[in-house]
Amino acid sequence: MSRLLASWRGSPLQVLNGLLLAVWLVAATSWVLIEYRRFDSQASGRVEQQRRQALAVLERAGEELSAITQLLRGNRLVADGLLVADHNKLLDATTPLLQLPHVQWLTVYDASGRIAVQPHKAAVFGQTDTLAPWLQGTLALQKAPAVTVARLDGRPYLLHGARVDDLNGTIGHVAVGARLDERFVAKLSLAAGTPVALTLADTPPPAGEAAERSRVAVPLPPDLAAGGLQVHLVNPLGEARAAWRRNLALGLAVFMAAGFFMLAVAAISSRALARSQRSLVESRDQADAARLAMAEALARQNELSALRSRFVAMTSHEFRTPLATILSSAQLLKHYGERLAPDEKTEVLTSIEGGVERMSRMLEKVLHISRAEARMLDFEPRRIDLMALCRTVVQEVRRQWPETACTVQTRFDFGPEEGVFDEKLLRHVLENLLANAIKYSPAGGMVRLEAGREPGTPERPGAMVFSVSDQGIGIPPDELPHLFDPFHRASNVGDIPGTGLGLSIVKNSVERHGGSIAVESAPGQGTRFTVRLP
Amino acid sequence: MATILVIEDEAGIRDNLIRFLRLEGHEPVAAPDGLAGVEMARQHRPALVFCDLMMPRMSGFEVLKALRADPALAAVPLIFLSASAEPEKLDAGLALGATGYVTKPFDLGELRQLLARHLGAAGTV
Repeated sequence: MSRLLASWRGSPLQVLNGLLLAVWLVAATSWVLIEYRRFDSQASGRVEQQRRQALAVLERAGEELSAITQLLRGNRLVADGLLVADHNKLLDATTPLLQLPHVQWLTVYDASGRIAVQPHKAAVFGQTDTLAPWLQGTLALQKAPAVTVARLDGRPYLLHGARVDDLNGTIGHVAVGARLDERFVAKLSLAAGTPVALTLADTPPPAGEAAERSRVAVPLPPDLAAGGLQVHLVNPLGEARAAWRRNLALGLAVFMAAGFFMLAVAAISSRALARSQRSLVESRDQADAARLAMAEALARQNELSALRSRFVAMTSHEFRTPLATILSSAQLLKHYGERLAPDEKTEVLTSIEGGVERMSRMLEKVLHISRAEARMLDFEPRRIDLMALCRTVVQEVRRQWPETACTVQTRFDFGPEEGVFDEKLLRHVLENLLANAIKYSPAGGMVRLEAGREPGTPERPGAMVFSVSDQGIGIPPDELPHLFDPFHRASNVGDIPGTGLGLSIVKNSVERHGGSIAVESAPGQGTRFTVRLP
Repeated sequence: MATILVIEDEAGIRDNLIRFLRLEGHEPVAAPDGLAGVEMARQHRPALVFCDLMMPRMSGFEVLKALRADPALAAVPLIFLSASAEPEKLDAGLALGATGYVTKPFDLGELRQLLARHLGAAGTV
């Protein structure tokens, strides 16, 4: 348990929510149970009481019924089923029934079925004078009679006073207090001699609650043939049940609402908590990321600063050296020209050319890098004689490094064939790699240029693979990732001059061909570059 | 007439210095790198040394140290020929005992003045 608790990492707010929810569940369940028990005991007692009362009512009704029966018998229909009753007597006869507790309304049946006069609207139970036009109209339409005795505010009313002369002209002072709809009309097709219908009603029972009232049917006396009397009582059990249902519904609603509320609070708080935790984590991550970015930016700044220093140092050295040659040559010719032998003059002039060429090459390198960085490197592949190019490059490098202690060897594993390359870029690749191999082998050693074609098909010839290896100073392993960065020079180059541009140019040129370059190196042992051009 | 040693890996500069020194009436000797330069110094006992800074095998600073460590050569004036524009580097050279320095591209007239100052003889340029 303790391990479970320990593993559960709830916040104090979540714990509080959980506790509140549990307390609420216990309280709500207890309340429902208690309420049910209370209802149960009350309802059973009330039902018994009501049953006894109802029985008493029915007994009384039976007694009163004789009076009604007498009354009905003395007021026969005159014509067309229209009841002509002595309304005062009818009122007297029915009042005791209506005054009994729980009596809602009475319905007297005739032989053809129940004449269920639905007491309708307060207007029905209003003053008879104001009802007269309505009653007349209704009766004219329905051609059917009914007599309603209504009870309003505990006082029974007999609705009367309207003469309905248009119904065969022989009507007494009869009132009808009910809405007579079509269905009802059908049932009221009374023949002459049919017992009358009598409806007693107080407040109209709402339609939905009709089922909750019990009906106690009392047979009419035999002389009323198949008719009958219904006493409508309030069903206390139904009332209690309805109340309980209302309470239960209310309780459930409250329970649900509270539950939802607490769940919502829990959800919102846990979401808020999760959000705050998340935002905390995010902000921590962001802070970490920002620190990292700052450190990276700083490192990059330092790198750029170092790069700038290297660039300044490189340009300074690499431009000043040929400038020194050019200037000293020019001054020699200017001040000592007449004392120089013709051969010497030629040499001096040639050295000027050499210096200018060197500066041009430097400029070319810088421009190459600049164009490559701007992705504007020219690429014009065409068919070239590879073997011839390789040999030219080797000769050129040997010419550039006449005093090298290195032995340059070549091995070409391909026939006299042509390849489709950009000659200028490929020359950059091979020249720079070979020059580097010699330059960074101050103690001499073997420099090898190997070239061969990978196996392929006549349609798709294999890639050309060039490899340049030396036994020079090598490259420290941790500097390999920056090897091809412009102006970057390895830390172990010492006083060996260089621009730091060569390998960058090589890489650009290789990539422009869609090829790849790989390097293997061990400090103090040598380096091998392998270029693969498709 | 003095023996002047030129230690310079750039052939063009080296050749021009040799011509210049010869035309100025000196006896130039030259070496293409530091190691050879020290050897030449020991061999020829030059009156003055012009020495490049960045060279293969042995840098100018190492040449200076080697000469200053050699009792026979410790007093020989040494002038650096520097392609670097970094003053602190040149100051470091002076601190090590260099006599002076010129930055490339140098003026031959400036070299003449240096020669005159350190050899006590001035020509005309």
